Amino acid sequence: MVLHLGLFMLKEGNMGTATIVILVIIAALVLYVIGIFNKLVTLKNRYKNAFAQIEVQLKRRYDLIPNLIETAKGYMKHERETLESVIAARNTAASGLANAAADPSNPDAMASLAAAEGQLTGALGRLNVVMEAYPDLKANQNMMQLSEELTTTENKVSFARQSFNDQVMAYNTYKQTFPPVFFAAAFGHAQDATLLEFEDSAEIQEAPKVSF
Amino acid sequence: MDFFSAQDKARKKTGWLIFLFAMAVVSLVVVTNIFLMFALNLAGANTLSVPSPEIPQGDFWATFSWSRFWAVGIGVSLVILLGSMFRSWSLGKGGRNVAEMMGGTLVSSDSRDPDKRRLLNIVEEISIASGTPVPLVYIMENEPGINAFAAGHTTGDAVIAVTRGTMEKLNRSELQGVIAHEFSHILNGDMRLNMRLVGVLFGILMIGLIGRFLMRSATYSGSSRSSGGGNSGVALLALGAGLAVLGWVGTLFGNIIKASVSRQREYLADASAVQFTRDPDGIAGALKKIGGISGSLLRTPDAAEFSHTYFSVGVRSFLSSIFATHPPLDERIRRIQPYWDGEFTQIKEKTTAAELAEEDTRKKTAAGAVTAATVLSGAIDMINQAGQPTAEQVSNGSRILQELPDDILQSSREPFDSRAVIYALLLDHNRDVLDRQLLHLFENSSNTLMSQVRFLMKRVFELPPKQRLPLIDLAMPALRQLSANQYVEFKENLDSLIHMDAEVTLFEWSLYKIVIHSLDIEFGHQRIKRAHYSRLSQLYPECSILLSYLARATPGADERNAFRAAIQVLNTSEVKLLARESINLESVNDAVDKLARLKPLLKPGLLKACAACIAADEKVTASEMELLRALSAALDCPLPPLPEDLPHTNQ
Repeated sequence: MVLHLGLFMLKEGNMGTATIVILVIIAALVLYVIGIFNKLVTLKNRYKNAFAQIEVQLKRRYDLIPNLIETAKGYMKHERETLESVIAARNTAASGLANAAADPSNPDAMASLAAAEGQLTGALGRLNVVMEAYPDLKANQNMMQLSEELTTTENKVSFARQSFNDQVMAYNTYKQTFPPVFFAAAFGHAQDATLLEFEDSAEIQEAPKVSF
Repeated sequence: MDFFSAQDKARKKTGWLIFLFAMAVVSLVVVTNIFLMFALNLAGANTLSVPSPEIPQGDFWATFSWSRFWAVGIGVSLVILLGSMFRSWSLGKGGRNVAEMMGGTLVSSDSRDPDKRRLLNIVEEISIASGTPVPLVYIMENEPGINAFAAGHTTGDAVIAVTRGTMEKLNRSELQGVIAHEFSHILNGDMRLNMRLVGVLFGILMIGLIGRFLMRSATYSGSSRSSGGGNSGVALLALGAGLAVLGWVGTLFGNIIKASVSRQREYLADASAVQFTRDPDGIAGALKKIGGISGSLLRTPDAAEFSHTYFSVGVRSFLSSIFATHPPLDERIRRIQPYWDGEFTQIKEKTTAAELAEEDTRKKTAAGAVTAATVLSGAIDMINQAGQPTAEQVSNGSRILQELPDDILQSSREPFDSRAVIYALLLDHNRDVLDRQLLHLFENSSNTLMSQVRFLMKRVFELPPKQRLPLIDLAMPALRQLSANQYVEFKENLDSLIHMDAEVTLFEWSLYKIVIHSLDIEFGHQRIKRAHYSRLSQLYPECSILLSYLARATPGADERNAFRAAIQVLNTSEVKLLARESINLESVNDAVDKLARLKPLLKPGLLKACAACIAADEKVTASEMELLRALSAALDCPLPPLPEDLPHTNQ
């Protein structure tokens, strides 16, 4: 439309202003669309990169658990099942993490990581309950240090997760706002990014805005 | 060439750049006009049923009119200007956006992967050695070639990106050479120049984009409207094609401009890299490996726009002698190793870690011979060496890293704990103030963070002053990984901790300045400002404020004497010692903000005046030295840390 009008004016000899106006309008439009495209790419890469920090912390958590089990084994001869379920949950979670880290924009991978994490937290919770019956184990220096580290790591996981979720929100919000919403799908951003929510401990649930 | 004149020269290149750019625009206007005349001729000859009287058929030159020439000129220039402004604006958000646009993967600053750790360690060592905040490191995972780039405007928002190939195929000293090369781009002010170049050239590229857009809409309207619109469709198509060709011509100009600005800077960066590491074999080895696999080309489609920022040629160009953004490999190697036999290093598709480690040990025994330690003394020497870490300082950098207690070092690399490190640095020795600070943190942060602060507090108090500033620099990449919300809270807490007691010490202020200055740009709270003042005399009132403040910074020293020493360096009577009451931290803050926007060549004079002011009482303590470093960091002039311990007196 604009173009035809422009060409018409060109022919009519009314060219000076017309050329300028049209060129500038087109340029501004093109720039605007390029701007949207770039911002979508940047925001997507940014939340993907934010996952790296979760990965580091979760890995550390998964590395601590075998040590914890090793220490507990010496005391808890009769709790084989509980110990094994922790190890199994840890292994599932570790492979879930590997999948999620390969592509943080894949909602399925995210969901299964969240589920596996839930399982692991549950298994660790049961281990904690069972441990109540072994005061010697609870007093063990190594054990105390390991559970302290585990707690710290969990806090760091939730902090990294908060950061990741903030970036995901930024991406989702941007692509749902007024002009970008028309372009997002065409530029390959049809799907919303998934928040990583763990349905575990209360400390993660408490409003992070004030607590960190 | 020293840091300040290298920076200045990079800026002067901007003048040359603008000239070339203007030439390109003029040529583009001329070419556009010729195309327009073709298009109109085509439209006039074939399509108009009633030929308009102004456009006689067949006579090409008759279609020329001055009014159209100017109109097109203004139009084209406006479009280019618009494009350039847009690009510069979007690049003004910091180096991180560039790396993320190119699809780089962030390397988590506390990564434990051995390959990544090696890379991060090298980056940290050189940062500490040159006194700059540690940049964020990105990996381009899908790039097997050997290449790297640095992006950003200042040392505070810089990022370094390397390809996966770089990480896997180079041994430690070669990797160090590459990183040192990128660092010298950062320190020589090339990044700023590069960013400006990208911004300006984007405007020219725009023309081509519009051309493609027009062509597409012409074919679209041609097919959708079978009757009536056909004629103008043909003309539009011609116009679009013309513009697309124009865009191509524009890109050509762009590449010539890029090449002419960037090639010399590459030699300079190579030379500085050798100077940093005092290991010509490292960077030469990297270049030889590139020659061996003929692989520094990048796959990313966006590669072309940033081609001049790479370590080595990233985009193939034809007629490489005119358009190449980098000098030929063998020429670069020969400048580093004049007796090179011309053999590139052949490497296998996948070099194993073991082989690289073996290359490393061989290196070590060879390099062990050259570690003559020259001892730096005095502030003036340090300023003369700004931005040019020597080999000694790089090893000094790695020594500082090794001397830092492991737990503090680990904490500074992690987003969660790095906040605790910064908070701990701000805690006061005064019991009363300390209690209030801790109470504030208790109310405004989590338990885990709180216990981390308590744990780090004692350790940080014990640190010698020369390790405090490097610690801030080390914490920067971790802090840059916070999310926007997390940053807002961090900033609020920082603010409260500093203002807990009535006075704000210069260290607190500098810390705030260094941390917040780069993070604000990162999180879009502030935009990058350009150097604005070309004469010191424009800022004499600000100099008066800063120097009067500094003169009183050392308790017990004679302030008049100190101030006089500073004035002698500046050689002016316009700068006056102001009354104590007329200066507060706000005004110092504003003054330093303005002074940071001085042209680079003016800064050493100012810094030397500051140094003279501090040294007037004829003893320079370690904490005074750190103040000077912090101040110069706030002025965007990184100073290397001191290699030797100065007498440490209590503040």
